[in-house]
Amino acid sequence: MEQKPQNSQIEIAVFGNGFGESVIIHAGDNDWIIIDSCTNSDGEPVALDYLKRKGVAYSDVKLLVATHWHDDHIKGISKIFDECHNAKFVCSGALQTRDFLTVTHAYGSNTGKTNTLLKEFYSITQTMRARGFTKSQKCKTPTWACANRPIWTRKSKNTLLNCEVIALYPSDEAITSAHLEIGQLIPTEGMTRRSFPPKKTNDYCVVLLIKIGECSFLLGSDLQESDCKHKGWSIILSDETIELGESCFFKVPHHGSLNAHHDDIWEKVLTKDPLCILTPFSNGKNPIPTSEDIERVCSFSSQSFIAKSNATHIKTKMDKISAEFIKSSTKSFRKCSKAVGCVLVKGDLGLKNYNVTLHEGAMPLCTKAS
Amino acid sequence: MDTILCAEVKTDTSLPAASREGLVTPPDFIDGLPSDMWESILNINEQHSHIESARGSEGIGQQQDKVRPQHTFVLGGKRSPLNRFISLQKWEGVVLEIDEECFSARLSNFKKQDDEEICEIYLSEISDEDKNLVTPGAVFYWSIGYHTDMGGQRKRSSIIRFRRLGIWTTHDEKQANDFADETIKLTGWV
Repeated sequence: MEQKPQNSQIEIAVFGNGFGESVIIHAGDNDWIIIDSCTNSDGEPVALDYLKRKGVAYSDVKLLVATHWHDDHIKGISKIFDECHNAKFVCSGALQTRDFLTVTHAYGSNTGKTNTLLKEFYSITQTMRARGFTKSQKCKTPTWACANRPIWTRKSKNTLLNCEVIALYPSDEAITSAHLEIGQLIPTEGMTRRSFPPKKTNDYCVVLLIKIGECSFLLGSDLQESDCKHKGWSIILSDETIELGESCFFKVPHHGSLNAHHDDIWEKVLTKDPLCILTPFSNGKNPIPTSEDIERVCSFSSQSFIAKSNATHIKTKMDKISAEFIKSSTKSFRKCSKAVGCVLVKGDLGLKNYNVTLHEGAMPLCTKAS
Repeated sequence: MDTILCAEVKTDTSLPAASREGLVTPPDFIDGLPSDMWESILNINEQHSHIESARGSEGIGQQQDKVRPQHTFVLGGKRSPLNRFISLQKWEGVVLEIDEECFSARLSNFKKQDDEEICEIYLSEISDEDKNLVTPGAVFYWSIGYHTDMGGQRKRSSIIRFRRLGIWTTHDEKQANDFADETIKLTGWV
């Protein structure tokens, strides 16, 4: 069994498998935070597997955050919710609407093998309903993340162990426009049934600032910059009511893509040469990060790591007939690797001293660029 | 009887060995026959065996009475061995993005549960009646294998078929709305 961190140690594990990411943080004092979920090759949430291997009780998970509803961020999260009874479940304030529940039932109650977009949220609502039936005190209502809202706090005699988790986004504007969009997704009588269409933008995902003692961690989820000045990174950076400080750790948003970049993040709210981690997205038509993305991130930080290389492709073994048909019917065809890479950071409170270990295909980002 | 129905298939070397083994017994075909029809087949074959053994040494002119049991085809029944599809690979896919020439999709392999692939399929591979179903999030099934038509002709085949989920009904709307109202009541969601 792997070693549990000591109460005075911080640990950050960023998992990525090319189609999913999960961040598990030990915030000291045996309090654990899980942000998003992906699954391993056995189909199990990597977060639960990780905690089990370390001998951590699921009851020590204090926060479970679903930053948004894309299935590369929430696959398996309903199982984590079922197991981690003491965890506060946090999701975007954009989902606090009756219409979202209607849409969840319409599209999430009956899905096939592949389209699991709302299935996880449907499962979570089912669990919450069951707790509501039994009048259980355990989490049966989400905690809604919105701009500048503290969502979890821990006070300690040792001030280095004081912890505060603050949501920086979604903004009011993002929530309002999300409510309108979700309303338009409700199917009506006579409409042809379709699977839930994957949303392209990430207008209302949850961005978190985690302060542990003197150190801050900025977790950017998949937030992309927007044309609207009241959405995206611009609104976070221009909001004078939020004390952003300078973070020494940055989970780079949206797999390092250009549309999630904002110069002011690097220049105003991060320390010089911060520790950066990103996860790849290689299960779409255009894998990210691209080589230009890598070069850009590395220009801001030499301490950058990626949870798994984008270059990991497996040759597909198949009978000759199928291979011939695939060759003539498709422009491209590649097998997805389900192996999950991990960048693990362990350090003291304040992260003044830390070390980074790379597992299962994780690698330094800047070595790739050179 | 299984042996008689399958002898022809087992010796058909145009099929891959794995497929031949898979065709040892066509259980759905046998199970679909009414029992009295099945008995009559057994009786016919017994009679033919008797004739063959009795006339085994007859001259050429009298061999026309001989019927070889291994070429007996059973007509009728609930399902026919003809017009069937033998799948070599099958996926369930979901459409990710669409452009002018093709659409990208994520595939989940039915035969190997843990395998997933990403591909770009040419739009020209989609039948006209399915073309308007190609939208992001749409689910389809892709099968590659052998198709035997009613005339017994076998050919290689690739079929992409989009899932038709019907239409939303008043009942579906009511179910979704009731779910929302009850969830709010139980959890205080809103």
